[in-house]
Amino acid sequence: MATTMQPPDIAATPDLTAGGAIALELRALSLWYGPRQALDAVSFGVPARKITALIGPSASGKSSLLRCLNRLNDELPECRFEGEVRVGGANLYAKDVIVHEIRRRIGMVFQKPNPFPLSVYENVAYGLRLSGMKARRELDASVEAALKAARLWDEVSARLDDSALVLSLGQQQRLVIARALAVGPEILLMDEPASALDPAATLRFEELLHAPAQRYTVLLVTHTMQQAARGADYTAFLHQGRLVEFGDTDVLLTNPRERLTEDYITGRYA
Amino acid sequence: MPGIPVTYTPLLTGVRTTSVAARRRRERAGNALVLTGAAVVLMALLVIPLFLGASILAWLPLPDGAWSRLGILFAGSAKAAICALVLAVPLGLAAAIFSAQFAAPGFRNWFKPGLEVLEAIPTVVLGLVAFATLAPWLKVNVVTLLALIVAMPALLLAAGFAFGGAFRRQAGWLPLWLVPTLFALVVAIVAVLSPHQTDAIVPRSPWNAVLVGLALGLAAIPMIFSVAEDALMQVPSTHLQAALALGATRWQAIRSIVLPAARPGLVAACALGASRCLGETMIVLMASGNTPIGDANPLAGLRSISAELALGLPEAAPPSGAYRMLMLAALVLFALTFALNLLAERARSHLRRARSAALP
Repeated sequence: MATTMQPPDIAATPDLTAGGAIALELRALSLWYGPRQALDAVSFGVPARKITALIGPSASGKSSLLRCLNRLNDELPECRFEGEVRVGGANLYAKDVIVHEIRRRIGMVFQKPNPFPLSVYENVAYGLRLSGMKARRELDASVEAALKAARLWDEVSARLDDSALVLSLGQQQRLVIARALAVGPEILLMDEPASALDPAATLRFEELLHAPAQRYTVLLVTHTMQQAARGADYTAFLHQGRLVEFGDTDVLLTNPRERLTEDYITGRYA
Repeated sequence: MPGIPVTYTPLLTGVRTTSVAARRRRERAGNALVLTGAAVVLMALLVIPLFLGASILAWLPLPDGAWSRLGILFAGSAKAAICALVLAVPLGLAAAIFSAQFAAPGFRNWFKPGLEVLEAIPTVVLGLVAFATLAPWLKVNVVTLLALIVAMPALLLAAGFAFGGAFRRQAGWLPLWLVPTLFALVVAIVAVLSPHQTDAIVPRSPWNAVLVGLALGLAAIPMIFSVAEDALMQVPSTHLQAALALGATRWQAIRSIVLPAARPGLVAACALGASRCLGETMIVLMASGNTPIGDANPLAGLRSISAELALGLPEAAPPSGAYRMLMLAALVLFALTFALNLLAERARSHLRRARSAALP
């Protein structure tokens, strides 16, 4: 593949979140898995350098939405897509976008911690090596910085060469966050990253969430309203593939416009 | 309600206790059956080498030249197996990687069982094809074969570069489109080259290791494919997804994460393939010429251990030196295939352990 062929749109944008309040803009996004429709004309903008929570009942299309935003759905042969996603003003699905380049700039953390069967160090270094970093000293520094940013450094600094699979679940989750942060993404997509954690680990995770928010645009799928309330500046409520409501978290959770949102956040949703 | 008779099931009387006893009896019978099965299999496994060993040791020493003949036979088996593996390992592994990582679900659903059914083709049929059809062709077409081996991957690569985009969109079903293309290519190359090179390279014997390798390789592909594909499918898809999300291309993700994670299974596939090639008798018997010469030339004939056993045993009476020689050959063959299967099994259990450790 000729990586020298620069796509004019996105790659020319030096900073995906720069120059505007909106980092990611969804325009009438619809998505089908085979015959099943997962998203139905979803439109909203994800504000730059803020945390936006995506809430909604199971199977409301939250994860599907997230996977559209780093084009991970491209890998599924039966997936069909309509509408538009604009990143930093450029079309994410333009023909000349180099998909793996754009994925490096839009990081993703999955629902279940999924470290590679490699050492702790190699897990974090994986993305850096992909982007061509070879010098050991550079790698060491970046790995350490990423692990520190994910609040994991103190626990693993003495055993960087151990397998990542022996870490506890909470540590694994912070490891995959470090792995995602290491390549320096500008936007972070997080798919219920706290769902596998116990309450203490969840709290530590939320602390961590606030730190990168100063630099990153975060779109966070979450099950728990409390997490949205504590962590997110904006919240979008998704129901059966449709966007019901989007707005400032405090407003949406205390004074929702829609009846459906109110039912969901007050627990009356059946 | 009047009229409806009420009956009580006695809780602690005869009914329940007999059913417990019956269940216990059935439990014991089941255990005994399973244990017997395991014991018989284990015994069979031990008896074979013991029998072979005893047949040799009882009448020491072996006849003169037994070891050198065994060496030649072993070299013959090895030559046949190597020729076959040169064909089967790349093709089998490539097909497995395609099926596990690239194929559309609809394609994979019939591709995998279809290829595995190939394993059911009797080897005598493959031997027959090699003997009757392939051998006369190969006798005058060694150069054509070499040209095919070089040209096909080269042409496919060139086509990939030229029409890459169109190929990628259809990747899941691509082999189906390629079959007619490949077929046309083969026909064209054969048609162009065949008439012109009768004398360019003449095989030492019309029945030679290359011929054996073609047929034996075809027989070994399904097993290598099947074991390797299972190993690749066991690699959690979350690994691939994570690698892609970090900016890896599909190939980078497969090379750096999926293949290393499946490596024990891939090693097992190759070991089982090698074991199959060493032990296979019928194809070698029919297509190798059965000449006991220690010649490394792949275009010369060979005689394998398995063929020696099949050919020599009817003429060797039990106490004779020839008989003991055959028993020794059988023991060597048994030990070789046993070791290879053991290696494969250990690799696969290692993979299973790693997989269960990876699950949170």
